[in-house]
Amino acid sequence: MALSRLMHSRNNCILVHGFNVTSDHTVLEFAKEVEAILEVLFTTENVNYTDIKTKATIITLDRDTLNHIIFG
Amino acid sequence: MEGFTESQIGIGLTSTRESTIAILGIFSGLFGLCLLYYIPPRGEGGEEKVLALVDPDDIWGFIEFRNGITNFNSLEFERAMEIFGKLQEKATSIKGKRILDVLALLSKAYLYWDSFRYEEAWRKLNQCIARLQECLVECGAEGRDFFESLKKNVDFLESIRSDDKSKLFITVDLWLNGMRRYYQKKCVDAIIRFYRTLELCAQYRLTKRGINTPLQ
Repeated sequence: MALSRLMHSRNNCILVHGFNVTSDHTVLEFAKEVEAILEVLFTTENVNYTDIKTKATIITLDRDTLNHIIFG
Repeated sequence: MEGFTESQIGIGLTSTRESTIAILGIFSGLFGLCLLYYIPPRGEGGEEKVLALVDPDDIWGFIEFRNGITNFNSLEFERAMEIFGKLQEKATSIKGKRILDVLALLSKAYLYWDSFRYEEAWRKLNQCIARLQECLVECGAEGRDFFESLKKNVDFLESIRSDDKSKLFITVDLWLNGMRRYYQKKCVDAIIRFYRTLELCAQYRLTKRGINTPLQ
């Protein structure tokens, strides 16, 4: 269970307290909460969060495609 | 089997288990048999293909190459870089050798990126794109998709280097880095990165109010 309490105050100050890591699930929950804050921050800056996230994502290699290009 | 030469006899690979592929690869290499690997069609109107490997160098390369991709996709970029580099040096008969060079460079670039060495990562990715551009014709449509994805990565690193909102963009990178650590089951490393992301968000807001805090 995530114990994080995230507060978004009137002047956009972010406070975090009471977080406890007990499982993988908790970590993922915390990650999602942090991402929600990021989305808010990007919205206030008029920057498309999804677009930036796509650009910043490291690509994975497709085995079959590369097998074909290299050995085909 | 009478009436057939060794190279006319093929072993069909239907398993995707690395151990099975390695054993069958060694077996076919030792007896000079052909190794057949089925590549399923991709997307609408895509063609299915059967890869036929006869040369022992190609068979060895095929097994090592799969190993390299597994390491790359598991975010073990250093190991992937070694494998692609070695493969490029030793495998003489592989057709797409130039792509191996691109993959070795890409692994190096991502290794830098994963360690927050943005400048070096940007330089390596640019080299990678330049090399890929040289052999784009032999890669077909799928190579172009790969090229476009890399260009997006370069755009992002470019924004971190020069954009006035670089701190803002670093927050996303830090969060994604944390997610990569999470997928590697390194939860403590992941948590540290998520907390730092929050801290960076606060730093960014402070900067907007004219209060500058050091990034490091």
